[in-house]
Amino acid sequence: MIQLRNMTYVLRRINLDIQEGEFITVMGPSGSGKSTLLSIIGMLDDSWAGEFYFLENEVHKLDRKKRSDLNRKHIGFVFQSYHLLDNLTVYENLDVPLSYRNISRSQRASMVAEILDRFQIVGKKDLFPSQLSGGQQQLVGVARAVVGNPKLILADEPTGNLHSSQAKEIMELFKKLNEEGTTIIQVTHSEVNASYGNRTIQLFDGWITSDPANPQTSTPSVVAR
Amino acid sequence: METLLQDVRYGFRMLRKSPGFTAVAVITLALGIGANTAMFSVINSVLLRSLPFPDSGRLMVVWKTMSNGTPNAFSTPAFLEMRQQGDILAHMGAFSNASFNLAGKDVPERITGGKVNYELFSVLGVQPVLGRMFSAGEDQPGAGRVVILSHALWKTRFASQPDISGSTVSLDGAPYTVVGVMPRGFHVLADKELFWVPLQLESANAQASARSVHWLFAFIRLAPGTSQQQVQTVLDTIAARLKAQDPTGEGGFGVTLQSIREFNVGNVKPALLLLMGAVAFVLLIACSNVANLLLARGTMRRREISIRTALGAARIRVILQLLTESVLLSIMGGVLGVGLAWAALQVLLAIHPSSIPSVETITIDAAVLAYTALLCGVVGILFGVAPALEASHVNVGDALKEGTRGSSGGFGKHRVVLVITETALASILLIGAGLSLKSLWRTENVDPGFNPTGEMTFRISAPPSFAGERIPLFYQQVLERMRALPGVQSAVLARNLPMSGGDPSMPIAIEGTPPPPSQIPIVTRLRAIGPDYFSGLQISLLGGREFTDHDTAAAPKVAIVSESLAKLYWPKENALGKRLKPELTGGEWYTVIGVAADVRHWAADVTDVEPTAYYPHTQLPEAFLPLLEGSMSIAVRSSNAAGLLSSIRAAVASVDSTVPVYDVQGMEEMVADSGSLRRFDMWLIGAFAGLALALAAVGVYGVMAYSISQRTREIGIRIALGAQRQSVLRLIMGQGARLAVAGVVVGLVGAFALTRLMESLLFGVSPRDFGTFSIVPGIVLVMILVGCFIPALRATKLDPVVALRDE
Repeated sequence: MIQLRNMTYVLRRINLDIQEGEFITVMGPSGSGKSTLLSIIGMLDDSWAGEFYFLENEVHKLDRKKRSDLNRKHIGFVFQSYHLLDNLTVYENLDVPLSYRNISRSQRASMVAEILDRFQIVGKKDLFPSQLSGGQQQLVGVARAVVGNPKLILADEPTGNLHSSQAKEIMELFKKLNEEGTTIIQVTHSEVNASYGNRTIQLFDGWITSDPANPQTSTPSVVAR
Repeated sequence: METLLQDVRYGFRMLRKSPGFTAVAVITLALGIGANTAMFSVINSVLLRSLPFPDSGRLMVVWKTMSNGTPNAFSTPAFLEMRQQGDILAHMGAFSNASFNLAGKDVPERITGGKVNYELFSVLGVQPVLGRMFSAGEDQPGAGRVVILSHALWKTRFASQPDISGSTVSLDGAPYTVVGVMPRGFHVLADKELFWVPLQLESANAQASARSVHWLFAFIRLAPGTSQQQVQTVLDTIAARLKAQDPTGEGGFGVTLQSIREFNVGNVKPALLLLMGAVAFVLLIACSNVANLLLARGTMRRREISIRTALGAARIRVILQLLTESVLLSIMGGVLGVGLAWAALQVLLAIHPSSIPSVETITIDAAVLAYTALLCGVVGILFGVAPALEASHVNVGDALKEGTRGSSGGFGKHRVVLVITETALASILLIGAGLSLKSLWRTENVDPGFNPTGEMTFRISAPPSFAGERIPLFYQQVLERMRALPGVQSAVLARNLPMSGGDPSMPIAIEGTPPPPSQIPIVTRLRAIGPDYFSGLQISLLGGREFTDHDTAAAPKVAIVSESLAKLYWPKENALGKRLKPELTGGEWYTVIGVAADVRHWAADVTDVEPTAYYPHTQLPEAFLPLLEGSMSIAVRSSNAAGLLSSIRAAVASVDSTVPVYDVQGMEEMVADSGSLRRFDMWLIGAFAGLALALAAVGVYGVMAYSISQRTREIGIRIALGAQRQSVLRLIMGQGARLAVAGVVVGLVGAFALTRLMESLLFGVSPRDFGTFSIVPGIVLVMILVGCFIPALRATKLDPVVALRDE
């Protein structure tokens, strides 16, 4: 699904292969490049050099618009701070990503209704984010990421602002989504969260220092000391 | 469409969530859009709205070109000669002002109207709403007396009688048959016209008019598809032909065309366009302010925009959403602005100068609303596009990282450009206002050459049945009765008093001076006056004597010349005793018996006084009298001019009870009226400049306050590191001052280039007046620095601990 070859700039000669259906965890200390890697895979960050293949597309050869099209069609985001739009209701927040696609209003309404039902937040559809708890907000955040049926969900410390029971609920949700076929890449500091995934990649100073799928990963001595 | 509706809905919600921002932006825009709407209402009514003639763009006023190249009305012989040239001139319409006593009340009412030839209504393309137009026969000498009424006269004096045609009205004591009523609002030259009668140009009286009496306004209608330039070329060809036939004849000087709209509004057009330019500047400054607010708001909305981008919003989509919000703001500003414009127009209508034509029709109509709607759209995009472009240009990854701070330090290049722009615009406007103010001050201090204090003026006309010596006798009797009224210090008589109307310009011959080789005659203003005119109006007599009751028709012909005329023709000699002759039928030699100081007859703010010759009204050639003495003005000076009117009416009635007193006006009021357009311009441009300066200062305040809010941490660190409060103040003020100086310099350059456009509107002041260009930048700098000072002072009071926690 995803292939990164000699990805450099903030990252250092990253080579990474991700198959469809995987649940990847990216770990590493602050400043190691976790969020940057996520932004690059999510096609929000253009500051890189190298080769990037996504679903048969040569992303490194695409212009910004085409990258945005790919992002819009196949990728959903979940953020640590939820990043719901404060002035929109839950319903409208779920509608926002669909409104950026060429989807009719009635179809959008049907998709949002389905996701509200699936996430059991129908009763909260007219509330604003400020009227929800942190866990509820992140639930909406995940619902928003899923509403467009993405092939890939990128989650940047999705439980960072939640207490443990809420975090567990969200992680169970990710696991379920993954089991239903959605590829998930999460960035986390939590070993517990990492345990929900099936592959953990370690980053340090922009280098991949550990990747179970690629034991030959070269690590410069200065990093590996 | 659905996307637009969604953006509009979200836009409204975003604006509602920030009531402070929305209120400031909407009020700022309302001031700018309101000023523009009000000014456009004036322009629309005065300059753009169609005249009461169909296809008025093809209607032309035809001017006789004088020997000195200036355009003038036609004399009867010149009009007839020109009409004989055929082509488009064969059907030239003619109009002359007329006034009659309309009987029907105890004292007849003096009404003004026009004499028109048979062709005029056809040229104008207007049909009566009742009855018919004049027939060709009715425009011939000896035809029966007929009249067409204005809609207003028909309504007010004849109760809109549907069967008015065929009935008789009494004008100047003679019966006239009403043949028609013109549509509402129709007039030829002035909206005071209440009737029209046939001109009967070929009549003996009209024929007798001298070639030098220019009293006919001529009109033609261009054929469809023909341009003014094409017809002017034809007319020039005719003039060349006439010149070849008679090299000394006046036909060779030709005629000049002027569109009827230009004729109507030509004098106020430059002032109105200047004011429209001023409000455009105000609007641009308002736009700069709101753009600055949006730039600041864009920074605060980085997170929201980043989320939208991360969720798949294309940049154009984000830009369109932000532009939707800015257009919503401008629409709200427009709605409030229309309200402000309406209120401003009520004030304007209350204080308007009489010199603005059609001022009573100024209103906010569909055209004005359409203009405002268009303006809202353009303005919304204008002030929204830079902030939208900047706000949509986000690095999503950075913006969504946790704990990311806003940018710090500096203003951003967009803000710098906006602040410099609005400061420059305010400087230009303020310099324009300064020049206007100085010009007005100069005007108010010009000595008009006479003393209007306590003068009450009015017009009367000798009864139409009077002829010959009875006419001057009638005026003499009235004058004597005036002088006998209690409290009256003086009473004078003139065909036209200063500030009250145009006297004919008249070529004169100077005894002993051969005609100039160019055949260009010596033209002076001819004024017919009564005895004791100069002492009554307190015009200085520089030599000789003034006219007395003894200067009758039978007495030796005498004249008084103005100082400028005396200097022009007898520069090194005493004018007294010299002789001159007005070039009109029956003109004789007049001996100069006095030299009077120059009088600014039309208005105080004219740079050149006209060389003038005064003649006793009793001594002008008889052929001239019907034109000259149709009515006369009288000025009565007393210590209680306002309470004098009833006594004046009674005194006139005691001479002849059928003679109405009309056009009653205080002379001080007339002097004030003569400068009212300039005063009006000055107040408006001053108000706009003040508004612009206030907006610019508020704009700078906003930018500085925003900049400081973004630099809280930096300033906190500086203070924590030991910076003195004064150095923080200096730092902030220094930045503001640099922007202000840059804006003022750009403004000075702009003003230097633009103020020459005001040249025709200024009096006694150069468009690059050094004083104005020196003082105004100082005022702008002070205002801008005041705008900087408040946020700067706030910055010095930052608690470093709190500021650093802000991180």
